[in-house]
Amino acid sequence: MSARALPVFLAAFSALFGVIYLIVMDHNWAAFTYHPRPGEWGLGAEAARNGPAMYLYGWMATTLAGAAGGGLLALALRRLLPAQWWLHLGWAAPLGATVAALYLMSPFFLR
Amino acid sequence: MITTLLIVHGLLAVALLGALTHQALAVCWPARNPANFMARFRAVSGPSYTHAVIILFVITFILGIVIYPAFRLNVRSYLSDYRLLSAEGAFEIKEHVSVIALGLLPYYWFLWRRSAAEAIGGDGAGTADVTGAQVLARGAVTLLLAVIVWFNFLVGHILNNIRGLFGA
Repeated sequence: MSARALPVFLAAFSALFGVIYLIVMDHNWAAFTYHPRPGEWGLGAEAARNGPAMYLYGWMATTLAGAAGGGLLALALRRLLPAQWWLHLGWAAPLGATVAALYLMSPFFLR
Repeated sequence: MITTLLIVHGLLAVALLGALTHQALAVCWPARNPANFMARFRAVSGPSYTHAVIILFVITFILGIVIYPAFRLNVRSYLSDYRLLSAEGAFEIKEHVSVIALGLLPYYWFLWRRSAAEAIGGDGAGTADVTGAQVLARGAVTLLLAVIVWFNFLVGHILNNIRGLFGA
């Protein structure tokens, strides 16, 4: 990757990471599942086995793949936007994702 | 073992909190004349904190990931059983914003270590516009990370008071 492409890739990666994570979490598109009580791993989002199931690790793996792929796609499209817009996207999208995470978790506080 | 890791996780979080607070205040509210304690707190060299923040964040995050199964089995079920929904929700937020912050770290590193105008070079964009965007992005990313780390620290501390330390 050339030095000129690095800012666009990193900004797009950060922007997509937060957004993709929320989508993946909301739809439970975990790449794998960890079952902490038996200490077992399963592929994809599995139902709980003998205790709770943990999807966080699988959500992070799916998100990493999606954000890296999206970052590479942004490199191909980088001339569509002025350079400073990419830089703004890199902080505005994670800020939006943080606010969206608060909204998605609001039922915990409203029940 | 889990209790030891939880204490180390908390201690590293304190160090991370200090580094990020210094850096966020230095970038958002720079002090020209370090005349008093608050001004000296803000008059630090922001870039010198970048690597420390990244290393501390990643190690603290990894420790959190390692102790998470014990939390899920012993503490989370306790919160659910006693209908402590606000505490449960606060941890959910901590978990999700931590991952969002983790994804911000490569961009944060770039914003503090490299000049975007130099990196982008002859892309046709105005150098002043790119430099201005980088200054704004650097402040916004650092502030967002600082807010997330403060939130996570306080939530972790409160959960620890409810059940954390000897829950595992």
